[in-house]
Amino acid sequence: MPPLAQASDVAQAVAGTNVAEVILFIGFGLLAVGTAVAVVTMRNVVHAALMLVVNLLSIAGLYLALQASFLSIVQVIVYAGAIVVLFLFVIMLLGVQRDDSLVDVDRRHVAGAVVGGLLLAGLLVAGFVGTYTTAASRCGDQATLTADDFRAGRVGCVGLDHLSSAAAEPTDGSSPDPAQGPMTGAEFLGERLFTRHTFTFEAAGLLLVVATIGALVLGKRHDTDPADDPAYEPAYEPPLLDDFDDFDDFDDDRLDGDVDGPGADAMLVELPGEDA
Amino acid sequence: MPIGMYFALSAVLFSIGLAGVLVRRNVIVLFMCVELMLNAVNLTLAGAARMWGGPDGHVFVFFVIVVAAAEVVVGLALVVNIFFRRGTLDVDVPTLLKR
Amino acid sequence: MTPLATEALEEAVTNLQVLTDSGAMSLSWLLLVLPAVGFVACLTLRRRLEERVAWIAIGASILTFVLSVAILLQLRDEQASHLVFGFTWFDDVGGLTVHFDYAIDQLTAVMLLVVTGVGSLVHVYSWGYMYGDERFERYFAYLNLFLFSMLVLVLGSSFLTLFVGWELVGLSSYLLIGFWFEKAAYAAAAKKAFITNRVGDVAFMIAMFLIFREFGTFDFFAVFEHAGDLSTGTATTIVLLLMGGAAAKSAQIPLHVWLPDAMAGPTPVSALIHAATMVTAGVYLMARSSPIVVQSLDAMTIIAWIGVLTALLGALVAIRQDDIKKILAYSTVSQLGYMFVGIGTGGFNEGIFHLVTHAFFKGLLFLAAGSVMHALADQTDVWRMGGLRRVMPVTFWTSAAAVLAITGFPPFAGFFSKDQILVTAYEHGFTAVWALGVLVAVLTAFYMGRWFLLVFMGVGRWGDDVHPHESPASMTGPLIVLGVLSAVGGAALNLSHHGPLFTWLEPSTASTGGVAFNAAGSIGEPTLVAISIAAAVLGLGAAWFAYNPARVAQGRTAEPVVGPVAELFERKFFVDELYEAIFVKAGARVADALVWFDTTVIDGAVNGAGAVSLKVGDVARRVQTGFVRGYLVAFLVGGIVLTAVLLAQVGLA
Repeated sequence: MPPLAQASDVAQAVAGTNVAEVILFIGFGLLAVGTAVAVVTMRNVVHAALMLVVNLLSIAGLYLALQASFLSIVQVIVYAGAIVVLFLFVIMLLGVQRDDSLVDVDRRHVAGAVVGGLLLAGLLVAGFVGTYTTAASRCGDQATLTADDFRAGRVGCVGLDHLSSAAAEPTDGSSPDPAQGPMTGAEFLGERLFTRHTFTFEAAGLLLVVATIGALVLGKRHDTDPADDPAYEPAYEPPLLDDFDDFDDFDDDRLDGDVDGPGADAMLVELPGEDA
Repeated sequence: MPIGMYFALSAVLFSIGLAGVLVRRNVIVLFMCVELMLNAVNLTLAGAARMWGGPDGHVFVFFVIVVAAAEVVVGLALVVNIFFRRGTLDVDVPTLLKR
Repeated sequence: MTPLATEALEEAVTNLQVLTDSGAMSLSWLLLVLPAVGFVACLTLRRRLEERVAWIAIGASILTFVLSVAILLQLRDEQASHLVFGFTWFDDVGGLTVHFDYAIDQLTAVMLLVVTGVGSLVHVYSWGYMYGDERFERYFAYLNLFLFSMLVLVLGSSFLTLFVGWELVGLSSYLLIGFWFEKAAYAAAAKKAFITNRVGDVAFMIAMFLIFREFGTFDFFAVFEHAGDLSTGTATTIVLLLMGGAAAKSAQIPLHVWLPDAMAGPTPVSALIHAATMVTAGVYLMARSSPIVVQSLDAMTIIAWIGVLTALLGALVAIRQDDIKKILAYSTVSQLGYMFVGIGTGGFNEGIFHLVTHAFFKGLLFLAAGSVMHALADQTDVWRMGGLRRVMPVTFWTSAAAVLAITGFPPFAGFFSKDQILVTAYEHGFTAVWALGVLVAVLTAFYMGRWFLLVFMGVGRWGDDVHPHESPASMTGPLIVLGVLSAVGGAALNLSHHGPLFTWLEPSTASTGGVAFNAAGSIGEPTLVAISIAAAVLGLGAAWFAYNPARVAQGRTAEPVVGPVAELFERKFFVDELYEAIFVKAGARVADALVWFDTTVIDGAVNGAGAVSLKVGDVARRVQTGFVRGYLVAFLVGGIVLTAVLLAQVGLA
């Protein structure tokens, strides 16, 4: 049994409640919330990215509290280790300035967003979460739960680590091979992944391939105007508005003045060389 | 500890991420807030897995991470493209969807 | 009703002798086939044979006449009605079984002779009259079509088959009246005839519906077997509705307006259709339905009054007409009124007799008018005629016979038939009707005398560019035949109330023994006859007084009516104007309202739907700002709404 689970068992036996889990939850929880707010409010993009990293790590910690150790490792490796790195690469590539003030200064938007967020959170908590915050939903008593309880449909807050070992014991054919002995959580997860969720797994693989190809195609750097490149022939290039003579009798009077955002000039394509 | 606390925390994180999506104008930071939201969901799923005692929730989290990774890859490639066309990362500037 | 009807039908069938395999009866189907063949031939063989196709048509009509004579002779020998089975049209459709059979009884035989006889004569006449017309062949096709339709009508053994013929006859009439449809007025006249007939047809159809409801069948014999079961109210309704149909077809008040306009058609058409055959279909219908008619004395009274009033109106208008054919048209209206007087007063056989004699002399009069017009290059104004006595002797003498017949001058044909109608009216207690009938006789004599004097007597008043001559033999031949019949036909057929024609017709028309007529007046029959003759003489004398050649030559004709009264008569009592004001204008206003409704409401709704969708599109376009964060806000709002809905469904549990 993994050391954390062992520790929590001890703590539970001692205190009647899973103290370690509570401590982990409170600590990492606060950290997660704090860094999330920081990501949202920080002006410097790099700082925001770093705050994101800390947030992801705190989520990993929360996974540990949930006794999903495999998942926490995956979180660290993939999210914090690859995705955020990708973010940082792009920030570096695009050369965003430190004094880039792109936070919305419109008070109404901010207020609306805050209110909306609060509203949603409140709704979710009140509606869905509320029932599960009572004492009856307390996690614990893993030690007393046997594989029979699990198969009988009784659920308790069983961490993956305990589950795999509990499921390894009996021999009525519906459980994994007992001769293998107790499995790790990863093994149990993998076994489920490759049997029941095989199709999704393959689809996810396909998705990754497609994303890779797409990223390659999209990420091609154009130093010059594509139209100047003799080797570049676009499949379809939408005509600029100026090319349409028919649009002369297009009734622009109907459109002016009522619509938010930039005017019709924004339809024109701006090349990086010409602007800013 | 009641398992619902994890859900409440997840709801809070989700709302923060959502507010960030609405407020920020930098496309990259927008993406990061979207990641926040995704992580909140992952947390919910893991908590649910703990509650029901099965590995299916974990599998779900696994796939969400995969998809998030793919999405970030493609999305950032698009962001790069848009930056090179517009010269700015302001999300209000591309309005080709108008009319 | 159905069990009763099938019983009746079976009884009716066993009462008849179905002899389809002996003698002329076995060929009776040719009666229908021959004209149909003629019709088709005239239309299809036009290019090949040109005007010679007319011989097929003429031959078809003559053959049908010969066949009709043979049938009559066979019928006289066997003294029984014949029911010839055709085919089953509806076989127990919702309780309705209709057999397209035709029946030949005594009444049918008489009608057959009239229709095919006069029809053949008109066919022959048309060869001469219509020669050179560019649609010559089509004319004969239409004539044969008409013959076919009339035969279907007359031969039908049920109300439904009669109605089929009825409608077909209306169609043929439309085609023939509007034969020269290049003139808008002629086409309009055809339309008027058809539409007016249609109005009557509605009444006819409702009568048929009632008959079906009462008896469960349309078959004549089945219906007449049980005619006595009708309540008086139902019988009155049925009879009046049938009369409505007959009034349209036979130009009685108030649906008489189409007949004068129908003179737009070629004159032989007027002779055949609007003197001898189609207009008599109404009389035939009422005579055929006599078992039902006698069930209701009220209906009979109404019919008699309609008849006599129509006769009066026709006569009054005729004395002020100047068109040679219009005079005859109103005369036809008037004489048809006489026939309905006969029907209405219980003299069914007398009405049929007058139908026969009227076919003779009115047909002759129309053909003579056609002959005159043909000679004078289609001149129709009587004031431009005159003096044709020496130029067209055959026409002159035959017309004289016809005029004497129509005025009821003995021993010509019309005397017997008209006199017997009036006597029957008097003897059945319709004294007022009789008196008016006598007045009409005076007027008839007057206007026919006027007609004759102005057309034939005196000196010619035509222009120098006209060279009148006698008509060719194809036209004068029928004139002579009809002239002889007008002269002696009446006496030959029916000298008295118990003459050969009446005894012949007795089995096929109902007897009026059970009808509770009013008591007759005190004048005896010889006196009545004398009064009739006196009326004729009075009328002719007055005509001579007013329009004798001397006066006409001097231009001092003594018009009997002048001033506003004359205007009233001449303008046909303003009936057409009245109808126009009531029906046409109102109909036009209804049509205008409907047009307004269509363009404003319906088109408005359709166009409005388009405009609404455009406006909605305009408004909805505002949503597409291209503002990404706006879309995100929409996500948020949607998400909140969805969550709220889910929570509400789950019950905030």
